[in-house]
Amino acid sequence: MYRDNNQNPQQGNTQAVSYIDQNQELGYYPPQGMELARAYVPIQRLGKVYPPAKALETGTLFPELYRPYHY
Amino acid sequence: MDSHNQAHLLRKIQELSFVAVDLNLYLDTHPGDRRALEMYNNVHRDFLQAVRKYEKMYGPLVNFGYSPAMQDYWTWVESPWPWEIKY
Repeated sequence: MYRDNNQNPQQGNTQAVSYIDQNQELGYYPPQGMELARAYVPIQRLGKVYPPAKALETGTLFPELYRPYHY
Repeated sequence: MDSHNQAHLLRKIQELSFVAVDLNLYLDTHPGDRRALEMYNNVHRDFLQAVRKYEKMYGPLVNFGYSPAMQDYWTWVESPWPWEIKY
Protein backbone atom coordinates (compact mmCIF):
# COMPACT_ATOMS: atom_id res chain seq x y z
CA MET A 1 0.00 0.00 0.00
CA TYR A 2 1.21 3.45 -0.82
CA ARG A 3 1.46 5.70 2.19
CA ASP A 4 2.35 9.32 1.95
CA ASN A 5 3.97 10.50 5.15
CA ASN A 6 5.11 13.68 3.61
CA GLN A 7 1.98 15.77 3.73
CA ASN A 8 3.44 18.96 2.31
CA PRO A 9 6.21 17.94 -0.01
CA GLN A 10 6.40 21.11 -2.01
CA GLN A 11 5.44 24.14 -0.03
CA GLY A 12 4.99 27.24 -2.09
CA ASN A 13 4.13 25.29 -5.22
CA THR A 14 0.67 25.14 -6.69
CA GLN A 15 -1.47 22.47 -5.00
CA ALA A 16 -2.28 19.94 -7.71
CA VAL A 17 -4.68 17.86 -5.61
CA SER A 18 -7.70 19.28 -3.87
CA TYR A 19 -8.28 17.65 -0.50
CA ILE A 20 -11.61 17.06 1.18
CA ASP A 21 -12.74 19.70 3.62
CA GLN A 22 -14.11 17.69 6.54
CA ASN A 23 -17.24 19.82 6.94
CA GLN A 24 -17.98 19.86 3.29
CA GLU A 25 -20.59 17.58 1.68
CA LEU A 26 -19.09 15.13 -0.78
CA GLY A 27 -20.19 15.76 -4.31
CA TYR A 28 -19.59 12.28 -5.70
CA TYR A 29 -19.24 11.36 -9.29
CA PRO A 30 -20.77 9.09 -10.57
CA PRO A 31 -24.23 9.83 -9.17
CA GLN A 32 -25.79 7.68 -6.45
CA GLY A 33 -26.70 4.12 -7.38
CA MET A 34 -23.97 3.84 -10.00
CA GLU A 35 -20.45 2.52 -9.69
CA LEU A 36 -17.31 3.15 -11.63
CA ALA A 37 -15.76 0.13 -13.36
CA ARG A 38 -14.06 -2.43 -11.17
CA ALA A 39 -11.08 -4.45 -12.21
CA TYR A 40 -10.44 -7.99 -11.07
CA VAL A 41 -7.65 -10.49 -11.49
CA PRO A 42 -8.33 -14.18 -10.90
CA ILE A 43 -5.84 -15.78 -8.53
CA GLN A 44 -3.15 -17.80 -10.23
CA ARG A 45 -3.10 -21.57 -9.77
CA LEU A 46 0.20 -23.33 -9.85
CA GLY A 47 0.46 -25.97 -12.53
CA LYS A 48 3.46 -27.33 -14.36
CA VAL A 49 6.30 -24.87 -14.86
CA TYR A 50 8.84 -24.32 -17.61
CA PRO A 51 12.33 -25.72 -17.13
CA PRO A 52 14.78 -22.95 -16.07
CA ALA A 53 16.33 -22.34 -19.52
CA LYS A 54 12.93 -22.08 -21.17
CA ALA A 55 11.67 -19.82 -18.38
CA LEU A 56 14.54 -17.35 -18.82
CA GLU A 57 14.00 -17.28 -22.58
CA THR A 58 10.25 -16.91 -22.31
CA GLY A 59 10.29 -14.30 -19.57
CA THR A 60 8.08 -16.27 -17.21
CA LEU A 61 8.25 -19.50 -15.27
CA PHE A 62 4.52 -20.05 -15.62
CA PRO A 63 2.94 -21.31 -18.86
CA GLU A 64 -0.44 -19.94 -17.72
CA LEU A 65 1.02 -16.40 -17.82
CA TYR A 66 2.49 -16.66 -21.29
CA ARG A 67 0.64 -15.03 -24.15
CA PRO A 68 -1.16 -15.98 -26.24
CA TYR A 69 -3.04 -17.67 -23.44
CA HIS A 70 -4.09 -21.22 -24.13
CA TYR A 71 -7.29 -21.00 -22.14
CA MET B 1 40.40 -20.82 -18.66
CA ASP B 2 37.59 -22.69 -20.35
CA SER B 3 35.42 -19.78 -21.36
CA HIS B 4 32.72 -21.97 -22.85
CA ASN B 5 32.22 -23.72 -19.56
CA GLN B 6 32.29 -20.36 -17.78
CA ALA B 7 29.55 -18.97 -20.01
CA HIS B 8 27.54 -22.14 -19.53
CA LEU B 9 27.77 -21.91 -15.76
CA LEU B 10 26.96 -18.21 -15.81
CA ARG B 11 23.89 -18.92 -17.92
CA LYS B 12 22.80 -21.58 -15.47
CA ILE B 13 23.09 -19.08 -12.62
CA GLN B 14 21.00 -16.57 -14.57
CA GLU B 15 18.36 -19.20 -15.26
CA LEU B 16 18.15 -20.28 -11.65
CA SER B 17 18.01 -16.74 -10.33
CA PHE B 18 15.22 -15.97 -12.80
CA VAL B 19 13.23 -18.97 -11.62
CA ALA B 20 13.82 -17.93 -8.01
CA VAL B 21 12.52 -14.40 -8.73
CA ASP B 22 9.42 -15.70 -10.49
CA LEU B 23 8.66 -18.10 -7.63
CA ASN B 24 9.31 -15.22 -5.26
CA LEU B 25 6.59 -13.21 -7.04
CA TYR B 26 4.18 -16.16 -6.98
CA LEU B 27 4.80 -16.70 -3.27
CA ASP B 28 4.08 -13.04 -2.57
CA THR B 29 0.45 -13.77 -3.42
CA HIS B 30 0.41 -17.46 -2.36
CA PRO B 31 2.53 -17.49 0.81
CA GLY B 32 1.15 -20.83 2.01
CA ASP B 33 1.61 -22.84 -1.19
CA ARG B 34 3.73 -25.78 -0.09
CA ARG B 35 4.54 -26.99 -3.56
CA ALA B 36 5.78 -23.55 -4.55
CA LEU B 37 7.78 -23.28 -1.33
CA GLU B 38 9.40 -26.62 -2.03
CA MET B 39 10.21 -25.55 -5.58
CA TYR B 40 11.65 -22.28 -4.30
CA ASN B 41 13.85 -24.02 -1.75
CA ASN B 42 15.15 -26.46 -4.35
CA VAL B 43 15.93 -23.68 -6.80
CA HIS B 44 17.54 -21.63 -4.05
CA ARG B 45 19.78 -24.56 -3.12
CA ASP B 46 20.76 -25.20 -6.75
CA PHE B 47 21.40 -21.50 -7.24
CA LEU B 48 23.76 -21.27 -4.27
CA GLN B 49 25.56 -24.41 -5.39
CA ALA B 50 26.02 -23.00 -8.90
CA VAL B 51 27.27 -19.68 -7.52
CA ARG B 52 29.77 -21.40 -5.23
CA LYS B 53 30.97 -23.60 -8.04
CA TYR B 54 31.34 -20.61 -10.37
CA GLU B 55 33.19 -18.50 -7.84
CA LYS B 56 35.53 -21.31 -6.94
CA MET B 57 36.54 -21.64 -10.59
CA TYR B 58 36.29 -18.11 -11.99
CA GLY B 59 36.38 -15.73 -9.05
CA PRO B 60 33.71 -13.71 -7.25
CA LEU B 61 30.49 -12.83 -9.08
CA VAL B 62 29.80 -9.79 -6.95
CA ASN B 63 31.96 -7.73 -4.65
CA PHE B 64 30.28 -9.11 -1.54
CA GLY B 65 27.45 -11.37 -0.51
CA TYR B 66 28.49 -14.90 -1.35
CA SER B 67 32.14 -15.65 -0.86
CA PRO B 68 34.30 -14.69 2.05
CA ALA B 69 37.53 -13.00 1.07
CA MET B 70 40.56 -15.18 0.87
CA GLN B 71 43.03 -14.69 3.68
CA ASP B 72 45.88 -13.41 1.63
CA TYR B 73 44.37 -11.86 -1.44
CA TRP B 74 41.38 -9.79 -2.61
CA THR B 75 40.32 -11.94 -5.59
CA TRP B 76 37.65 -9.48 -6.76
CA VAL B 77 40.31 -7.58 -8.70
CA GLU B 78 41.61 -10.79 -10.26
CA SER B 79 38.67 -11.65 -12.52
CA PRO B 80 38.22 -9.90 -15.83
CA TRP B 81 35.59 -7.18 -16.09
CA PRO B 82 32.35 -8.42 -17.68
CA TRP B 83 33.29 -6.79 -21.00
CA GLU B 84 36.66 -8.49 -20.95
CA ILE B 85 35.26 -12.01 -20.74
CA LYS B 86 35.48 -13.71 -24.12
CA TYR B 87 32.48 -15.99 -24.33
